[in-house]
Amino acid sequence: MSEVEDVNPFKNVAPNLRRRFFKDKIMFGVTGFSLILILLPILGILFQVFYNGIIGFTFEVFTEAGGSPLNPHTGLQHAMMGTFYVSLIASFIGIPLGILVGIYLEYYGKGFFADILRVGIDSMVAIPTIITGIVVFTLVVLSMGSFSILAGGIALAFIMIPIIAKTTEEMLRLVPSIYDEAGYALGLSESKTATSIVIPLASKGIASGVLLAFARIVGETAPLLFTAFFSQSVPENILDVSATLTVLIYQYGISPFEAWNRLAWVAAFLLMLLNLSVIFITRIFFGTKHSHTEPSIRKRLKQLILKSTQEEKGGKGE
Amino acid sequence: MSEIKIDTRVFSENKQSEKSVVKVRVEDFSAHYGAKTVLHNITTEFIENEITAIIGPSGCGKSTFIRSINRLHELTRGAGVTGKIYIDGHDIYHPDANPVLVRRKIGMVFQKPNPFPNMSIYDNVIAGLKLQGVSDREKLDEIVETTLSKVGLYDEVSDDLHRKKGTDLSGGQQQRLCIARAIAVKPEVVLMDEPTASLDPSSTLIIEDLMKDLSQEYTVIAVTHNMQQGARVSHKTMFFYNGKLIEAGPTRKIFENPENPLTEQYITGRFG
Amino acid sequence: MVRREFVRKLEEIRSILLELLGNVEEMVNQLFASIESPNNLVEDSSKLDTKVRSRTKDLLDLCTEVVTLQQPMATDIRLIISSIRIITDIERSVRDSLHIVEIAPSLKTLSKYVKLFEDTKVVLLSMIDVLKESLKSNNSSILLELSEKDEIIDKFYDTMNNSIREDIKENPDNALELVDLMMAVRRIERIADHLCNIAEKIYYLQTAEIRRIA
Repeated sequence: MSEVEDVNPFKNVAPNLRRRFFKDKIMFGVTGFSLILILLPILGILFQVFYNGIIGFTFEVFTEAGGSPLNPHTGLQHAMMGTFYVSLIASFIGIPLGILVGIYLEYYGKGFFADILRVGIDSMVAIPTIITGIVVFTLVVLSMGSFSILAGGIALAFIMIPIIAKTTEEMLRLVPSIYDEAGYALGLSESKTATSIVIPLASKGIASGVLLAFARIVGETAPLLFTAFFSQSVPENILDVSATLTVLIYQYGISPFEAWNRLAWVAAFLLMLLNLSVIFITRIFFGTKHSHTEPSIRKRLKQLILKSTQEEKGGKGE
Repeated sequence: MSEIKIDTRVFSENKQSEKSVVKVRVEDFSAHYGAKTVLHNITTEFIENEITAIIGPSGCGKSTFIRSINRLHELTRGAGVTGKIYIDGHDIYHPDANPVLVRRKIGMVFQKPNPFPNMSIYDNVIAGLKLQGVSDREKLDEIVETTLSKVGLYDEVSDDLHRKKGTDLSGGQQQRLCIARAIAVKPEVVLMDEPTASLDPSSTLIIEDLMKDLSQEYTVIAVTHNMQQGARVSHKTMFFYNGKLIEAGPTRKIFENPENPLTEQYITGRFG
Repeated sequence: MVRREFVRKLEEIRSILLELLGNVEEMVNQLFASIESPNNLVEDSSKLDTKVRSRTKDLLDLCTEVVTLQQPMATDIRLIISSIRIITDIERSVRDSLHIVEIAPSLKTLSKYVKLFEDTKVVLLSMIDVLKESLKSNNSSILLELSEKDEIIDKFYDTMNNSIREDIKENPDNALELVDLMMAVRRIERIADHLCNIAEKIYYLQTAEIRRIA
């Protein structure tokens, strides 16, 4: 054969192989291109929100509530309080109920009733949230006679529960059965094994499911439209109406007033920050299904955060 | 298959000189998954403080058999049993019998070591005790030290009892930890389902020695896929095939001169 | 899923055993032939003895290999144990035969003993036949058969002994040759004993029981 060492061992190989490598490169190109195509609008949105949010930002956003659109010194305090209370109520109701339903489905979900429940929950996850809103409007607002934060919290809880139930069930199912069996073999009852062994093992997954459900409802708009309604002032109690960041973005955003438009952007910016931080924290502390790809970054960030919080506490621990 | 009638009850060779107490007695026991029967009319017994090895090709029902002894088999959907199993004369399948209490008398070690990953070594050992309500800290400390010493782990981990998690140990150490966890609740029978199947050869030998030590205090029943291990370790051997107990007897007899030609064929490797 | 290589080696062990028994048969024939007529068979017998020694070494190697590498159980391990022990008896049988062939030229065999030796040879050869058949297929009466034949050899031994003593008294000049003849007869009886030992080992191989022929 030739005296020159052929560096590329595949050059003289059957054309089949060459064709396959070519196909491979095409695939890579097509998928890479689609990725960029998708990233562009997302990055565009992020950029828009950040830009407009930052340039419209003043500290009054935190100190002032709403008011006349011609007053340049109004803020977002009322909406922030509203979102805060509404999410709090939703969490109080939704998180425990969601987790309990999830546990029920996984452990007792063998009979006919459980199957129906499961179908129901699956559909609830997909219900358009405006329908949830109108249902709660009918059930709570009309019977109470007024809009309220409470109604808003209830509506959001309705959205949270199926999501949390599903992820809880999923996380419990992911715990390998060898731990179940170890518990039974030790002479522990099914309930004891569930509470002391399985649930603790699934706790990280359940917690991340809860956090993600929380991030989800913080960003809901439709159900709040006819439950918490709207207001320009800080709410006095949970029976009061209130503005929320999401509804405010709508109200202020489509208004013709420049001051209100500016505040809408700032609200969008704050909401986005909140969302991103929740997801970020979840990732760091709980990882994702593919967390084996990011452990080093996760570990370092986690240590960083933990260290800074420990220094604040005064160096307790190791 | 020939229909040689073999007495599969296992008797100690010298009934007069040894005290051979029957610890577990199995009477006409069958088990099934749904419509499929996987164990057919098993009748045999296990003698106290002996190690019995259960051998047979894959799928012959040996795992199902020992999981029936601690009533783990019935936890699978559609699983059921007929027949009786007596431990110390008590029928464990009696309608009034509480499976949870039955399982407390029986410890089990699994094929893949399964220490609880979110618990420390210390907590793993006392998992069975703590969750049954034992809380005296001194007593627990003592139990941890005794059981870990019995399995030969104490010296290796005594500094890290609380710091290291159960899964921070090597495979062989994890399995010994699981054995410690199983004997911490003071069972009377210890079941082992291919305990060294996922371990390296030197860990395997350590655990085999441990099994021999354990038989001083407990009655050990071990399923093994490794015939030579069964031969090395056990006093009695039972050969299962296709859900039936083909032959049971003293280990030397089974491996030197079995009665049933099927047993001989399996032992000499003429079929898998 | 049979262990083909392993089974092949076990069969080889059995066939070498049969071969060795065949060699013993040959030696016995040479032994009696050299008593009958003083032809010089020493060279042939020596060669046979050497060949047997080499073959028993092969057999020993094979047994060691199987034990070390194959972890034999039950019948298989008994085959190994029996083979190793049978080797000893075969070597002794061949040795004893060779000694007779070596001293045969100096023997004085009187014609009155010819028939007796013929009959004895037949019995010895039939003992070897039984052993060979038993290796090929289980023979539960192997001990009985060899015991009976051994008794016949014992009778031959007693008869010859007494007769030779008488002869020595009557013909003291032939004393040395007659004593040699007596030694040869004793060796023949010992060969029969070795064959009985082999039978015991084959019985163990078949039944895992250790029983002795009286």
